[in-house]
Amino acid sequence: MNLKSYFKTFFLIGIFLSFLSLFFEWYSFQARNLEGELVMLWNFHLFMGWNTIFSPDAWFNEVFKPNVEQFPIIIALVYIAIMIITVYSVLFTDLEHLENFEKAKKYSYLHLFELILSGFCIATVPIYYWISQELFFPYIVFIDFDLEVSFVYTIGIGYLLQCFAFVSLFPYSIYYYYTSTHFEKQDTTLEGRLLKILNQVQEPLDFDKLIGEERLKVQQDRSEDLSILEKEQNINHIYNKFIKLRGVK
Amino acid sequence: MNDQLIDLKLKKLVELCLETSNYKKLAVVGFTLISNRLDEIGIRLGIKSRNKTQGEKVYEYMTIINEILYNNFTLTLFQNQMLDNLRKIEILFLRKRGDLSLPFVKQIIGYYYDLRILDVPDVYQTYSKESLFDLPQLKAIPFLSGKSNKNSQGRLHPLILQKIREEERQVEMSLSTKFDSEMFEKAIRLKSIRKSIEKQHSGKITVHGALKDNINYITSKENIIRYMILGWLGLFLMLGVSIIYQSIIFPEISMGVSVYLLLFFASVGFITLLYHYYNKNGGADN
Repeated sequence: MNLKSYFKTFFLIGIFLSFLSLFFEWYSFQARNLEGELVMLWNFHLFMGWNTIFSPDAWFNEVFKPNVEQFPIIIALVYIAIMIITVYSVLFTDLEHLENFEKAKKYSYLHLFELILSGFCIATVPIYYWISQELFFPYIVFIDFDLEVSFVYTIGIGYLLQCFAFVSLFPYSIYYYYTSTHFEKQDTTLEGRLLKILNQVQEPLDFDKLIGEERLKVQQDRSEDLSILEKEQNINHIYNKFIKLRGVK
Repeated sequence: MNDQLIDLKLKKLVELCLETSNYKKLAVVGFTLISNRLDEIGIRLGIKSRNKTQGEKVYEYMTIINEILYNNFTLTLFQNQMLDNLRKIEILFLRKRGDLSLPFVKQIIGYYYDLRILDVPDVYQTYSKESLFDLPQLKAIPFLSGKSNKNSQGRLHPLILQKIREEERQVEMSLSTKFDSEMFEKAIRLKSIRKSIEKQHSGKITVHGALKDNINYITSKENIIRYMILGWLGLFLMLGVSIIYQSIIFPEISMGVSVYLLLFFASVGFITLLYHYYNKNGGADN
């Protein structure tokens, strides 16, 4: 397996991690009392927003519910759609054997957009969705002695998966973008292209037909010659017969 | 149809035509073969095909090929004597509507075989990285021996171009005295390399044949390791900037997150050093 294949595999792993990250929690905000018992838990998912394991009756849990807007579902759906297209482009279009670079160029923009979306999720989500709501980042434990609870602010497995996905996606995406935008290729292979052009340009020459015609002429000429020979032979035969009848040898 | 098969069939046709005294047919076949061979030579050299619809004659097309090759490689592919004779025979052939005597037919077929001997290389042929080392003058250049980084490649471009031009001049001088297929191929190769290097400065790099055999692609493919390093750099920068933003908004937690700041920015520093180190040493080894 060559270098490019390794990074292609990394890319596919990155896509898988990125896809998984959408279904895991990205952020966790929890509180435990002095006995270590969980008294509050809010998890942030890109698709579902904030959710908890506690019922709405748990007043302490409800009081600390983060007041954050839902992450736009449309972005997540676009992200998934782009992931599917880029996986297709990587699995079924090998740049090294591709005849049409224009097609690859279109895919390369999607690769780049996918990378930007991943970066957006990593950089913008903490700033816009968490920090603005006093949800600290990446991992902070804050003990409130008045309430006798310790608050834990931590990024979730989804966010970590997205970080790993970003570094896995980055090399192959940039390579794909660079290669498809910096190289342009002739449409067919050398020999195939030359043969195609030669067939269009060269004058057709049907040797078999030409030989056949000449052979026919030769045969006709021979048959004419033969008939003359036969006549001569017949004349000779008549002459010989004539001589034989007179008893002359 | 390959040349061997053409030879066999042509021999048979010549035998039959000699028997029937149909020299007209042989003359037509001879000129068709010459025309087809010239088309092949022209296409392989990247020259436009003969404009048959506009009545461009065979000798006119040969003159065009000669002019182009002379301007590019100071090479005369078709000798003047051959051109003159073919011109006379072709004019006679057209005036007499193909009715040529046997000596002329013999000459036509003879010229066809003269054209067959000319081993013309393809200008479209791609050259592997290793093939560059066949050029003795270029051996000493670090760019080709893989001992320099991309930045120094840029600085070396004028030097490489100068060396290639010198080599080109030598090959052209050699070609101007006598046609040599190997020298001609070398001239085309040098020109192809020079154009490729010149094109690196502007616009896209045109790839003839398979992308994997292209020297620019082979070199650029190794950049994927650089992209990986840059990916990690980008990630740590994004995380670090987010934490700095957080520390500015909430200065009271800056102590708590200082360890992450240190971790991320230390990673940024380390990766930057790694990137420079790779550019200086590692990258060129690939």
